[in-house]
Amino acid sequence: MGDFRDKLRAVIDGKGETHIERKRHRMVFLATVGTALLLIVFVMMLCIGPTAILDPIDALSNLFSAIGKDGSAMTDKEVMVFSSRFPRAVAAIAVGLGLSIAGTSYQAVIRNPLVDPYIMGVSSGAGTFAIAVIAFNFTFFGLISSHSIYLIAIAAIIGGLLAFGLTMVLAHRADATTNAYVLSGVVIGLVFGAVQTLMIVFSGNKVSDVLLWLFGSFANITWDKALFILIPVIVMSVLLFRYAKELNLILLGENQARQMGLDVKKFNAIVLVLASVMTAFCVAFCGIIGFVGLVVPHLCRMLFGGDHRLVLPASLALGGVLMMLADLVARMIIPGTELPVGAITTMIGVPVFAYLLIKRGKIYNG
Amino acid sequence: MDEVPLLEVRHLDKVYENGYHADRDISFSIPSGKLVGLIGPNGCGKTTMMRCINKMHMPTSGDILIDGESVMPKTPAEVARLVSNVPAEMTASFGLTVFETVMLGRYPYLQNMWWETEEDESIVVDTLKKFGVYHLQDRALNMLSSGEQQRVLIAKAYVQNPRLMLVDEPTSHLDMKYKLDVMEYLRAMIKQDMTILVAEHDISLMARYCDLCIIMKKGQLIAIGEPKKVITEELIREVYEVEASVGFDRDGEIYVLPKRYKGPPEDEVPLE
Ligand SMILES: Nc1ncnc2c1ncn2[C@@H]1O[C@H](COP(=O)(O)OP(=O)(O)O)[C@@H](O)[C@H]1O
Ligand SMILES: [Mg+2]
Repeated sequence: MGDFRDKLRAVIDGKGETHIERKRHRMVFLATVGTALLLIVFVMMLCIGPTAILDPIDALSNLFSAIGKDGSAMTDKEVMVFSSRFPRAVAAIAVGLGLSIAGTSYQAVIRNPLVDPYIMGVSSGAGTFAIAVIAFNFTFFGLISSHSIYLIAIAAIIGGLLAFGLTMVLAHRADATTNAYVLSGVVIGLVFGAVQTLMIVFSGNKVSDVLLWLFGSFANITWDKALFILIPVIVMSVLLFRYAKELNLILLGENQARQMGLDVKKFNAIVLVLASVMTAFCVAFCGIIGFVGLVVPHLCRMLFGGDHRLVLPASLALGGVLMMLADLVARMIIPGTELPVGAITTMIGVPVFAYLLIKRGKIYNG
Repeated sequence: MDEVPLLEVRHLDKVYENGYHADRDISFSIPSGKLVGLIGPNGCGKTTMMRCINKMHMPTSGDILIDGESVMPKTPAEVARLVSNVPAEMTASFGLTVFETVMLGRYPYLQNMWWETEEDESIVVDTLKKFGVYHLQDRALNMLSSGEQQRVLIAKAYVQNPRLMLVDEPTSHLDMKYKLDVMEYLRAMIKQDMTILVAEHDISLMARYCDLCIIMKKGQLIAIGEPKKVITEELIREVYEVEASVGFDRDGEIYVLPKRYKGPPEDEVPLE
């Protein structure tokens, strides 16, 4: 496997003479291969589904004819490709890259490789509020129509950001060190987790709906929902990309980064807020999909090195591709039954993570 | 001295938030192109003073001037181009290589560029060679020995191209050979336009390598001057409350041999 990685590296690096040339090569490789993979898997997402498997030309021609029709009088096939599979693929890409970029950013700022996007309590806060809606028709005291497709999503975002806010307040009341963030996140997560458990116990016949949301799924994604996820994820990602160099700098420790001209407190706060808002949007419709935000950053570091100017774009591509593949598996592996995608990512993620831990653990500890 | 000193510390006072008075009315100045040793017992305020010099901490009162200009109104990035610092130890490198770590020393010069320039790269390569870590350039920082890590951290501070480099206890967990090694590298780095201020407990080592010594005790400046003039048995007794012999070896190098703790205050009965 080490051999394989070296060979892959040689391809990725090209014939670069200097470090900078090699990094530029890696970037070009990432841009081309990443885009190609995203496109290929995206087309696979349009072709493959439980109702029918189309060949790529068929799928694409249905897609383009549907786009031409502007939504009216579509054939069944066009509806399937354009209104069901397409937004679903978009949502999978958005959530995959969002969770991966959030995970990468969190890991750098907290400088702990075990950190995932849910470390700051976002998932438990989101889960608690989402369950309140699903099981008890919580409508924010009538503020949001109980028929709105956004009700669960908005509840999840509010809950996620509430938990994140509480984590930040607690961490800052402590000493705002990276340990304080992790510990506060764990504590807040436990509190919301307990409320969540209580609600599940009393959720009666809604319990399966609740569990379905919690495990995460891209079923029932429409165009509106896909865009509702995609747009904020793109905005947050672009903003985080601008901090790539600073994410490298912070790896030297807060004192060194501060000494080299970075306003560390402000930087930490900005990155954590951006990553948490992004995570909240990722879980809003699709529930809590585990392991992607933990494993993808490590895979990217293994392939492209620790420089965030490469890790961030790599997370974007790999996160998007892997999430689409996981969704394909989730809807195809057992005919007639759609598995929660979170279960698939966990089943793939655990062995990959164990492998990384064994092979690469040394790199993270002294 | 007619020319403007490289570093001037004026009546520096630092009182921490908890009321602890770590530095008291410290004033001195040092010229360009010197290796300056900062010596004093644990907790006497050496690190605190260094942190005030590069604005990591705000002094409670007093001023720090570099080339005659106060650092107080300068932005962190401006200070980073004047003063670099070598930490006593390093946190996890998270897969950053030695090359990438040293390259981060160029961060204050990057401005809005995405990649570093070829010029940055050649500065880093030259420095890696100069510090004998070129062959380690693709290794992860935390896979190196402490001695190698220390060299990498010094290299990083060096490519920052500062006027003043602050080095805090660089040899604290190094063996004899690496201690000399670090001091040799610091010595070799001194250029006409750069001064290094190094805090260190090994007085003999400091006396041998430094052009100037600054002696501190309980937050105050006790002495500043050439090592051979400043380091005496009386001074060691006053500063450390330790009996020591200060002598010269065959090559005329000064050495300090601690003998015993001065013992309990005079009014208590000594054991002998
Ligand atoms: N952040 C802080 N808050 C309060 N007291 C501090 C802080 N940092 C250091 N001190 C105290 O200031 C004194 C000087 O510390 P320091 O400058 O680190 O000494 P040295 O580097 O000479 O060993 C010590 O007594 C230490 O306990
Ligand atoms: Mg100290």
